[in-house]
Amino acid sequence: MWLVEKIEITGGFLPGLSVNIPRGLTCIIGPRGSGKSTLAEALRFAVRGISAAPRQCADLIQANLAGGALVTVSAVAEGSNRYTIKRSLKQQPVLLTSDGRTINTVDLDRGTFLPLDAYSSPEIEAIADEVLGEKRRNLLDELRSEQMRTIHLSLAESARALDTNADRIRTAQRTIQDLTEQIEELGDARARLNALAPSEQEPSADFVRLSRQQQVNQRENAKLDSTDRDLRALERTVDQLRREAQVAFKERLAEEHSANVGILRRYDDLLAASLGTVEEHASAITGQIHKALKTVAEARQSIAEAHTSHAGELARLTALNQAASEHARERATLEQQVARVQALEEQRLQLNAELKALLEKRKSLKTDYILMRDQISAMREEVASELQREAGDRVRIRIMRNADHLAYQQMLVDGLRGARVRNHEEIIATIMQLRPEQLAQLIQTNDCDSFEELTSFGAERSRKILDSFRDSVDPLALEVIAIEDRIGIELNVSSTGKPNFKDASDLSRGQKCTALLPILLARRDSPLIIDQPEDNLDNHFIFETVVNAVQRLKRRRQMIFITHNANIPVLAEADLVLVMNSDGRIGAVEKSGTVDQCREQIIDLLEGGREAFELRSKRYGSA
Amino acid sequence: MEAPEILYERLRHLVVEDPRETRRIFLQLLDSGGPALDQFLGSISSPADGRLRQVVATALRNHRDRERLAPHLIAWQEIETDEFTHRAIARALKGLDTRSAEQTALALEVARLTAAIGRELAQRERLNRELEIAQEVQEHFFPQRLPSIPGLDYCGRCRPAREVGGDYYDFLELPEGRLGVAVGDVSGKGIGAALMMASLEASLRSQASVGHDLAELMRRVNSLMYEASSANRYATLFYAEYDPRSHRLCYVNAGHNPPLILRKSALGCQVLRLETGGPVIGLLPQRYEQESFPLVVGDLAVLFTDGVSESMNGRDEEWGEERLIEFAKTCQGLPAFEVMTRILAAAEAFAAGAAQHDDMTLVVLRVLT
Repeated sequence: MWLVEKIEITGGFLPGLSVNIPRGLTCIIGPRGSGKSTLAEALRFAVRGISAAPRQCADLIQANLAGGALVTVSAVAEGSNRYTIKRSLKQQPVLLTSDGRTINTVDLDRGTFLPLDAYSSPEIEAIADEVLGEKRRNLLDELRSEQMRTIHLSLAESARALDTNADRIRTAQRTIQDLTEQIEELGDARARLNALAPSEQEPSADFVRLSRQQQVNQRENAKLDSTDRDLRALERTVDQLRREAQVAFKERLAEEHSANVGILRRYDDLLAASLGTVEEHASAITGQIHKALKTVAEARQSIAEAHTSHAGELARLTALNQAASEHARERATLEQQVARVQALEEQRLQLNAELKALLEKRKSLKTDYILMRDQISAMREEVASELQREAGDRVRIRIMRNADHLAYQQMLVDGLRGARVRNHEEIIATIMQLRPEQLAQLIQTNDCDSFEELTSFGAERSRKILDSFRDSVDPLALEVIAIEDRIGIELNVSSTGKPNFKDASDLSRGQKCTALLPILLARRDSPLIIDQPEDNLDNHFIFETVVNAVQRLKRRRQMIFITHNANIPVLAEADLVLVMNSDGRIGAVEKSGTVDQCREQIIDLLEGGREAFELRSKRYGSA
Repeated sequence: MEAPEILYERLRHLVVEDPRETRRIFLQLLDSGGPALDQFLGSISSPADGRLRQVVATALRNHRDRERLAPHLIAWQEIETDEFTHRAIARALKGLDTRSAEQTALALEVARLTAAIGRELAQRERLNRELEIAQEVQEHFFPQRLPSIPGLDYCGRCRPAREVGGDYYDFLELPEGRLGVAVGDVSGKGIGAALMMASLEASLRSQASVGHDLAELMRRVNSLMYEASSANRYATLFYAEYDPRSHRLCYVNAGHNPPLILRKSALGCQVLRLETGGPVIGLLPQRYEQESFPLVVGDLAVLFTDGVSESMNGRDEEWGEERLIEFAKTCQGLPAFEVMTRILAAAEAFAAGAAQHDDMTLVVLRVLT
C-alpha cells in the first residue's frame, strides 16, 4: 500500500495547480472542460508514463501538458518512505528519495514499484464488452504477476520443446514415408532375383559384397552428417545457456531504495562471483564440442579414403560385368537393387524406433504443458474467489475454464470442410465436448471405434469425419492449440428476491460500470483513479452497489473519482471534494473541502445532488 | 482393482497424458461397480478434476450407464467450471428423465452439498479444516424456522460436539395443519456422516409429503438410504406426525432411543415410551410398523439423542435415562423452550466441563390445548 500525498503541475492547462490528496475518497467535480480528466490523467502520466494510458487519454495529456509542463507527485510508501516523481512530456522521469537522492534502478513504467490503477470510462466499458480475450484475464493475472511470470516462462520453454519435438516427429514421419515409397518402387526386386534362372557364370562374391558395402557407405556418410549437426546444435544450446546464466547470475536482489540494500548487496556480489565458474564450465564444454567436431571431420576424411577405394573397386567389377552376358548383367542389377532395399528397410526400422521415442517424449512434454495451463486456471480461480469475497454479492466473478476456444473451433470447422457429411454445426457442437488433446489422440491413432463411441455419430459418419480430420488437421498442433479461460463478470440485475445474473457484455452502459466497479475497487491496495465523464450509473438500486463498495473499500486504498453522480461523494462520504472550473484558456481548482463545505457546488453541478443530501440526512441524521 | 486413492492419483495424471487409456480404466471400474466406483466418483468434485469428470461423462455408453450416474452428473453440473466438461455433462444428461422424484431429490441434495463442500474445500484445502466444514453443513440442515401449530408449544436444538457427529432433527410443515417431527443420529462422524444426514433429510422431506402411511414412508426412506449409503453406515430415526385436531401423534421409531411422554395423572407422573417401529435404517431392506398415540392436554414429549442421555462426566459416568426422566419431571408446566434449555443445562452440569464426544440433540413438545 502506498499513497499519493500531493500533486503539483506547472504550465500546461492547469498551471500552478497544487493539491494535497487525503487518504480515503477524493471526488473531483466540475463542468465539462474544466480540467478534471487532465488532473486525473496527469497523475497517471507521472506515475505510470504515457504508454499506460489508452489513446484518448494519451492525446489529452499530449495536448494539455504541452510546452514543457511539469507534473510533480509526492508519494508515501510503506515504512513511510517518501518519494517524489517529476515528469514532463519530453524528458525522462525523475524519481527522488526524501533526502533528494535520485533512484536510477527503478523503471516506473513497469508499474511494479508504485503500482497505480487508473480507469477511464472507455477502458471500463472495453473490459465489460470483451467476452473473449485477455483484458478480463489480465485483471486477475496482474494480481499474481510474479507467479504468472514464472509459469509463463516455463510455458514458453515447454512450447519451444514441443515445437522442436513436433518438427523432429514430422521429419521422421516424412522420411519414413519417403523410404516406404522408395522400397515400394524397388518392389519385387527380391522376387525377380529369385525367379531368375541360375546363371552358369555366377557374379563374383566380391561384386555382391561391394554393392552392399556401397549402401552402407552412404549410411555412414549420413551418420557423420547427423552427428555434425547434433554437435552444432549442442553448441548453440550451450551458448544459449551461457547467455541465460549471465542474466540469472547478474540478477540484483538488492533494491536500491531499500533499507536492506547493504545486506543484499553482499549476496549480489557472491552471485556475480559464481558466474565465473559457470563461464569456465561452459567454455570447457564448448571446447569439448569443438574437439568432437574436429574428430568427426577426421573420421570423415579417413572414411572417405576407404569409400573411394570401394567405389573404384566396384567400378572395376561393374566394367568386368558389362562384358559378361546380358543375363549376368541383369542379375547384377537385381543384386544391387536387393541390397538397396535391404539398406532402406534397415534405415526405416531405425527411424521407426526413433519416432516411437519421440512420441513417447512428447507425451510427457504435452502433459507438463497442459498441467501448467491448469495451474494458471487454478490460480485464477483463487484470485476470483478472493475478489468475490470483497466485491459483494451483487456482482459475480467466475472462471469458465477453457471456454475461450475459438482457435480450436476454427480448426474443427476447417478440418470438417473436406468431409462429405451434413450438419457441420451439430457435428462440431458434439465434438466440442472432447478436449483438443483427446481428439488429437484419436486422430493420431486413427481410433475410429473410440471416436464413434464418444460421439455416437455412427460407423460411417465417424469414418468420414475422422478421415477428413486425418487429412487436414495436424494432431501435433491440435493437442497444444491455444485455449484460454473465460472470465465471467456478471451483475445481478434482479430487484426482487430471485437473482438474475447477466454478463457485463449484455448490460447497459451504466450497468457495465456497476458490474466492473466493485471488482476494480477490490483488486488491490494501490491508489485508484476512476474517471467517469458521464453519469452512467443509471438505476438507483444499482448505484447503491457502487456506493457500498466505495464506502467499504476506501479504508483500504486511496480512491480518486471523477464523477457526475452526487451519490458517490455524498453517500460514500468523500474525504475531499475538488471543484474545478475553467475560463476556456486554463483550468483550476475553484474550491476544495469536505462534502458539506462544497454542498452548494455539488447541488449545482451534479445530477441528483439535492436528493443525495436528503438521502444522506435521512440515513445518518446529519444536515 | 487397486486401492481407490492410488487409482485416483494415477488417473489424475493419466487423464492428461492418455485420455483414451483413462477412459478404458474408468469403464472397467464402471463395470465392476461397487463401493470403489462410488468412492472414485465422490473424490473427483474439486474444480481441478474437471478433466476426470469429462472422461466420466463422455465414457457412458448407453442409457443405463447414464441413468446410473445421473445423480453425480447432476451434482457436478451445478458446480462445473470447465467448458468441455460442462458440454459433456449436458450431453450425457440430455434425454434422461431426471425428474424421477426420488432420484432428483437425492441428487439435488448431493449437488447442493457437493457445491458447498467443493467451494469450501477449495478454499480451505490447505488448512485442512474438515471438521469445521462438517459443522457448517450440519448446522445448515437444522430447521431455520418453526411452522406454527395451534395448541402445540415445541422447539428443538442441537449442540454439536467438538468432533462433529451426525445428529439430525427437523420439523416439517404438512398439509391439513399437521406437523412432522424427526430426530435421528447418523453413525460415524465428519463429512461422511454429514453427507448421509443430508441424504436423510432429503429423502425424508421428499417422502413425507407423499402420504399418510408412516410405515410405508419409513420403508421407502430406508430403501433410499440403503441404496445411497455405503455398507457400514446407518442411522437411527424417529419420525412422527402430530395432528392438532385429533391430538394424535402417529409415529415410527427406527432404532432410535424411545422418546418419552410425561403425563400428569392422579397417581403422579406417568412415563410412556414410543417404541413401535423397527431396526435402524440404511443397513438392510426392512419393513416397519407404525403406531397412533393419543396425546392429552398437558403432555410433555421429550425426544433426544444418546448424546444427551449418555452425557459423561470426568469420571466416565453417564447421566443416564433415569436421571433425564427424573429431571424432566421437575419441568412439568414450563414452556417448551424453558424445558429444553433446562435439560441441556442439567446434562452439561452433570458433565461438569468434561469434553463431550457426541452431539446433544433435544426436541420438546408440549400440548397446550
